[in-house]
Parts: sequence; C-alpha cells; structure tokens
Amino acid sequence: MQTAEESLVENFEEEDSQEGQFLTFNIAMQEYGIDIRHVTEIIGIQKITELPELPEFVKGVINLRGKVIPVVDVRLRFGMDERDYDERTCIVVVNINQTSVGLVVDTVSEVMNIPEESIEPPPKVNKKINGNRFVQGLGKVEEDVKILLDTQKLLFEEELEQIINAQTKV
Amino acid sequence: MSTILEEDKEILFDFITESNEALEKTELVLLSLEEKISESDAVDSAEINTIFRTFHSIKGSAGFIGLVGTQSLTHEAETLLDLIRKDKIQLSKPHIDIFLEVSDTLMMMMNHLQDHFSEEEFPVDMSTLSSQISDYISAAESGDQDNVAEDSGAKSETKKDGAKKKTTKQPEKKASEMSDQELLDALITPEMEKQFVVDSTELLDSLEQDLLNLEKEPDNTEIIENAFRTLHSLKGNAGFFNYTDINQICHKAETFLDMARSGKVVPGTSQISLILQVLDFIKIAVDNLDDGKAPVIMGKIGLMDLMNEAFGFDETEEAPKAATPKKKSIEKEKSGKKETQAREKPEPEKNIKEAGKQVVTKIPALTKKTAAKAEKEKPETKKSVSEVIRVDVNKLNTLMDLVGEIVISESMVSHNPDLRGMELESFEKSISYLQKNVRELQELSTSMRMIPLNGVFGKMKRLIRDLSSKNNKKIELVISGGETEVDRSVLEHISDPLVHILRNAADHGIQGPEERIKNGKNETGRIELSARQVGGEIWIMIKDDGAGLNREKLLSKALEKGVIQENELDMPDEKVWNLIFAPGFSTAEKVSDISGRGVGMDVVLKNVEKIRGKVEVSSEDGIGTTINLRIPLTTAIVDGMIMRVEKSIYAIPTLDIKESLQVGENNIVDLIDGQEVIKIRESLVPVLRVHELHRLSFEQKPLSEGIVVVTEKAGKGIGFLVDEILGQQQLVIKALPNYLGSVPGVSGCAILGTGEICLILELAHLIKMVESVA
Repeated sequence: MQTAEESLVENFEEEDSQEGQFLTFNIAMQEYGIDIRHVTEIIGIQKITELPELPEFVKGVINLRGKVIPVVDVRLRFGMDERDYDERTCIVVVNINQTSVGLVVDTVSEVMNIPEESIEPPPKVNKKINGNRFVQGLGKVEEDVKILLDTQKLLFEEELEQIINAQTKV
Repeated sequence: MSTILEEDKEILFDFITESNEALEKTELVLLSLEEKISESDAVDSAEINTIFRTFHSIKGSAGFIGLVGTQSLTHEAETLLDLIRKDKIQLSKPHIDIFLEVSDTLMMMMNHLQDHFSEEEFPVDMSTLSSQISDYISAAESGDQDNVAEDSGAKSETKKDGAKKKTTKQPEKKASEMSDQELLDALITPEMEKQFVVDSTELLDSLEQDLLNLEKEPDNTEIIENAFRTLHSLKGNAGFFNYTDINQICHKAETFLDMARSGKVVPGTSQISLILQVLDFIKIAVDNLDDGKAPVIMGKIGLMDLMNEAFGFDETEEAPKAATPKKKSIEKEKSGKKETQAREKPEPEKNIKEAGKQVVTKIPALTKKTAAKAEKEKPETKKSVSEVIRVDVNKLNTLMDLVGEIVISESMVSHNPDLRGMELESFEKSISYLQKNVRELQELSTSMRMIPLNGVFGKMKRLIRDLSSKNNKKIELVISGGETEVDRSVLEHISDPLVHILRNAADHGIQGPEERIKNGKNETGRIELSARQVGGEIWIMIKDDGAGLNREKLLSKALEKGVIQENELDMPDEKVWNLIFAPGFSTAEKVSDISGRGVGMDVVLKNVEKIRGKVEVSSEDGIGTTINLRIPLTTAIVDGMIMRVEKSIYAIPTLDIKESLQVGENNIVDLIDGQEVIKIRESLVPVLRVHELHRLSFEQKPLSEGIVVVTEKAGKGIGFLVDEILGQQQLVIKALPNYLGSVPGVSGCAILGTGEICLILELAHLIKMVESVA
C-alpha cells in the first residue's frame, strides 16, 4: 500500500504544476488535506526514539535513511486523545523552511486536486480551540468537506499553545 | 553599473572569497610591518609589495565588476603604497593605521556584497577614507618633491660619474636603453605583456624540469641543449620588451649553459641549484609584471656576482670586465636608499679569485633567503592553482555527511540480523575489506576538513594590538603552534572563546605599565597563545603574566551573588577559578571592576562544551593566569559506550567512563530527598536514572539489579543506572533536529548498525541537573 502511495506522490511531484494538489489523510474519521508541495514522502510507522522535555505533541525522532527527523503526532497537536499506532498508521514527511518533520496520521487517503474556487476560508469561530488555528481553508469536494491545514502553522505555531497551557495550569 | 546580473553573482562571489583571503593576509602583513616600524627595523619591500598586490587586484576586479567606490578607495591606497614602495614616503604608523582601516572597510564591503550584490546602501562612507589617503599622497608629493629631485639628480650624477671614470660601452648603453624604454613603452601593449608572462611562465617551468633532470645526468648534452634553447628564448623575449634585469640574468646563465654545451665545463650540483635559484628570481619578476609592476629582480647584482663566481667567469672573459664598474656605480646609486638590498648581496669587491672556495658557503645563504622569499611568493604564482583547489564548504559538509552514512550503512550490512548464525567465510573477507576502505575514506574526509589554527591566531594579533593601544598598555602576544590543525567546525566554535579569553587577559589580566613596574614585572605584558596536540585532543593554552585571579575577591563576589553558600568557602582553588564561568557572575565582575576577569566567560564554557571540550583554569595571584582549552580533534565522530535503559539506547563517550559495576545492596545509600548514592571504595557517587530525569515512563527497580556506569567529567563523578551494556563503537554524531530546540542532557544522537537511534548523553549538563536537584 505504501509503495503505491509513494509512487502516487512521486508522480505528482514530477508534474510541473502542483498548485491546488492536496494530500489527504484521516484523523478520527475526519479528512484533512495538506499542500502536496510540502510533502516529501510517506512512510509506515516505525520505531520512534523518545526524547525528554519536548512539547507533548512531539513524539521523538526517527531514522529516515540515516537522517534523524522529529515526529509530530497530529492527534496530539490537535489536542485529541492519543491512539495506538497500527499498520495503517502513517508518517507523512513534510519539508518546510528546510526542516523535515514527520507527521503521524491515522491513515493516508489520496492526492486530489481542489481548485481554488472550491476552497472557502475557515469559519471565524473560536480560533483558540484545538486544531482550528491550523486551518487554512475548507475544501469542498463533491459532498465532502476536507479541512485544509496550514503546514507552516501546524509545525511552527506554538505561542498560542503555550498561552493556553499557561492558562489551564493556572 | 552597480546592479549585478544573476550570472555575474558567481564572479562576484569568487571576487569576495579571493578578496577576503587576500585581505586577511594583508592585515597580518600590515601588523608585522608595524612591528618593524616600532622596532625601527628595515621594512621589507616584499611585504609592501604583498599589500600593494592585494589592493591592486581588488581594484582590478572591482573595476571589472563595476564597484566604483571600492575601485577608487583601492586606487588611492595603491597610489599611496606605490609612493612608499618607491621610497618617496617613509612608511609610518599613521600609514599602517589607514591601511588597516582600508582593509577593514574592504572586508565590511565584502560582507555587504555577499548580501546585497552591490555597493549600494553600504553604511560606511568610503570617500572620507579615500580623501584621507589622498591627503597623505598630496602631502607627500609636495613635501617630497625635493627628495624626488634629489633622487633623479643622484642617478644622473652616477651615470656621468661612471661615464667619466671609465669610458666603457656599458653606461652609455644604459643611457640609450633609457630612451629606448620610452619608445618601447608606447609600443608594448598590455596584451603583449600578458603574452610575455604566459610564455615566460611556460619557459621557466620547462627550464626548471630540464635543470632538475640535468642534475641527475650532468653530462647529458641533449638536456643542456634544451635548457640552453629555452633560456635563450626567454632572454630574447625579455630583451625585446627591454626588461633589462631578466635579460641580463638570463644572459649570464645562458653563457654558462653555452660553456656546458660545448663541453668546456660539466655543470655541478651547486651550479645547477644556483640557476634554479635564479629562475625563482625571474619567476618573481615575471609575477610582478603580471601584477602590473616593473619586472625588476631584487638583488640582481648579488645574483650576477654569485653566478660569476659559481660559473668561474673571470674578468678576462665575457662581459664582466665591463660589468664590474657598472656594478659599482649602480651600487653607489642604490646603497643610499636600499639597504636591504645591499645586505642581500655579497661584497662585489671581494676578490673573485678566492670566490671559488666561498661559493659553497654562499649558496646556502642565498638559498635560505630565496626559500623564504619563494615561500612568501608561492601562493601568488599561477602554478599553485593546480595544487590547491577551492571547494565550497557545503560540498565538503555533504561529503562528510555521506561518509557518515557510508559508515552507518557499512555497519548495517556487516551487523545485519539476517546474517546471524551463518558461516560466511568469503563474505567476512569482503566485509573486512570494505571496512578497511570505509575507515580510510572516513579518515581522509575528516582530514580534508582540518584547518590550521594560524588564521584564528593571526586575528588575535590584531585584537591584542587594538586593545593594548586602547588601554595604553604594552602587551606582547607570543603565538606558537599555529600550524596545529583542527576540524573546521571546531575552528568556528573556538574563535569566539579565544576572543573573550584574550580580551579578558588584556583588559583585566595585564595591568598598566606603571603598576607592572611597581610589581617588579617587565613593563611589557606578555600573553602566550599556544596550541598543540595531546593525544586525541588539541590543547589551546592562553597564558598571561598579569594580575592573576584573587581567591578572596572571587569567593566574596560569588557569595554576594548567591553562586555559592557560606559553607563552601573552603573549596579548592580549582573550583574557585571555575566560578568565573558562572553565568551572571561575569557581569557583576565587570561592573564592580575587580581586577579578576569574567566578561563573557560563560560564553567560553558554553562554546567549548558544545564541541565537547573542556576548559581548565589555573592562576596564581599576582603572577598570572593560564587558561587551557582542551578540545577533541574532531566533533564528528566519538568513541562511545552503548547502553540500554528499558527500550531506549544511550551512548556515553568512552573517554568519560571510569568503570562500570554491579552494586551490592549494602553499598547503596538513599538520601532523604530520594537521590541515590553508591559507595565505591571510599568515594560516594550519586546515581542517575536517565529515564527518571527525562521524565519518561520507566519501571522502578532497585539499583542492585542493574549495572551502574560510573563516569567522570571535570573532576565530578556520576553514575548511571543501565539495564545492559551493549558494547563500544565509533559513533558518527548527528545533531538533533533544530526543530526540537535544545534537549537537556543530550548532546546529539547517532544511528546504530541496527538503524536504531541512540542518544548521546551530555555529562556536563546532567551533572548540573543532579547538583541542582541536590
């Protein structure tokens, strides 16, 4: 299955225009999408080496063909409950700002084209709660709605998180 | 013009790297010139030429790229230098200062160019500097007019003198040459000159080869013929361009080869090596020409004499008859202003008959000088291009990474679990062959990144110079061991610490001249900066003969700052000195102006620890302080002990491990706060549970069931409880991804043969963690 997905991604990478291409994946039955241009590869779950004193959502590091890259559990990033990894659990390796990070997702679905006109801005409600602040837009594909994530924010935005943590601690 | 096209960027970057290199060298030369001036030593014209060349080549390239400001600044500097070079201005300290400023400005410009690709928005006003220089120039030109006149007057006088004394053809010929020169100047185009340089370089190279071969077979006439022909065409070319020096020297050597050709003499080793020396001089002259200067040969007359002696030309033969008086006259003319040159040459009046015996002794003397000169000139020659190539650091880093990968993949193959329990004789052989090659590759790639400390040390000279003049102190910086090589990454990390330490030594350590004299010390303070390799480490030692650290002052300050407690006041000296590294302590020191030191010392420690080095301080009150940086040779690979704790794998540098043991129940002490301590022989060692410290899930089990690995760092012992020791191996250290920020107690990670990641523990930090808990 993985190989199929890999080749899928590769095929798309070869194309000149990756504009409007999204890799979609599942977390807790909801479909999410991230810009395909940031995705370098998809690998199966593998042994994660734990590290001390990291934010909860950073699970640790993995060995990606000799490169040590950090792994973020997207569930934990969204403030959801952790779920045991199984054979369908995947690590989506994204590269942004010259940083490679693995994203743990429940399952990977497909690469799809979502034209700009069918993407709506995220609803402006309660951005502070959970994953909403990572949302870039909502993509309408036929009957479904895919939540399109802002990879940059997903990886790097932490101020809010800290504020929330501080508040809950008090 | 100032905007630069994309495709020109490469040219620009080349220009920047080259200029930076040259400027760094120039700075050093300037500093050494300054020393010479202050000691009123004779100024070496070769050094001035080096600086001249730098500015000249920057000017040329800047003009080509269209950097108008840079071009005009270098042009002014060059003009001033040219006046100095021609002895129209006496080089003095203000000149050095201004040249240093020019070189600083240019370096800043290079940095600016790197980011902006143009001179625009350059924050420094270069025109003021330019006009400052031109002030010097105009002052010199008006003031030294007499000098110049005198000079030319002297020349013509000697000419007349020579003509009167002996009505030989030579002086007249010289006069006619002079007018020819003017004619020729109009005829010779820069392109022709360039061609001459190219041709001559080729001719010189082939001539050198011929001579080297001739040395082996002195009677091989074919080689002599070849050499003769080459030399002849060189002479002919030089003659056409009217480069008298080259022409005359070539002529002399050619005459000798002619004699050898006709079998009158058999060229001996000493004579051949003399010709080789001569070639070096010609090479320098040709290089000078390439740099836009006159192709003069320094110490030409001395060379001619040497050749006369070595080749056994006596007065009756050849030109020497006429040459001697001419020599004398030129000697007179020159002796007044160029002492350095005069010293270089042997006394021409010394009876040449005796010379035969002296040749042997004189040649080595010359050899030394030429060797020194050749060394200086070498980086400039075109030939060196083929020997050293510039490589982008990124490529080198990638290579290092790749080699690291290969080391890992090699061990993945050789320790592959699939092979377990199989008898594979020929496979084992291939593997060991592979391992050998991989190791060699690793060593080679590591050595490629090794850089001598000279560069960094040289910068310190400048620092001390500036500091001493700023603080009105006299400080002498003695550097040794600059040729010691360290890994590039090490070099990056020690540059800052060195600056901090030296600044401290000069600011706080060395006292002012009066105070030093009062303390019975030499007025001039002395800072020694030395480097050497000790085992697998580089020791960089900074030793000053300043005030030293004051135990009481340090302790009271530390107490005041809350760095230590009352009951710690009797700590050993060693620990007291280490107080200067306490963060925050430093700033207090600076404010209170205690004669100790401390500015930025925590930075020193941090930087050095980053490359797994150690800092040792020793000091005697009133006598001085010594700081020793002990740095591992390379930061890329470490010999580590691999151990398992639960499911995680950790590594500790083998060098830090003292022993590992199983502890009996009766040797375990539980402190009230839960810190476990074990008794090993007579000492008590705290034991860490890494998982606990890292707040990872773990199974509580008694110490006696595991193995305690006892480590020692900076005189402090600490034990780690592990479940199993897996072995010892070379680890290729990888930094943890930046994304994670800094992970406490972990200095990096390594990938094992099994593909697993092991974390390399950072002992210094862990010890601190234990101490803060305790």
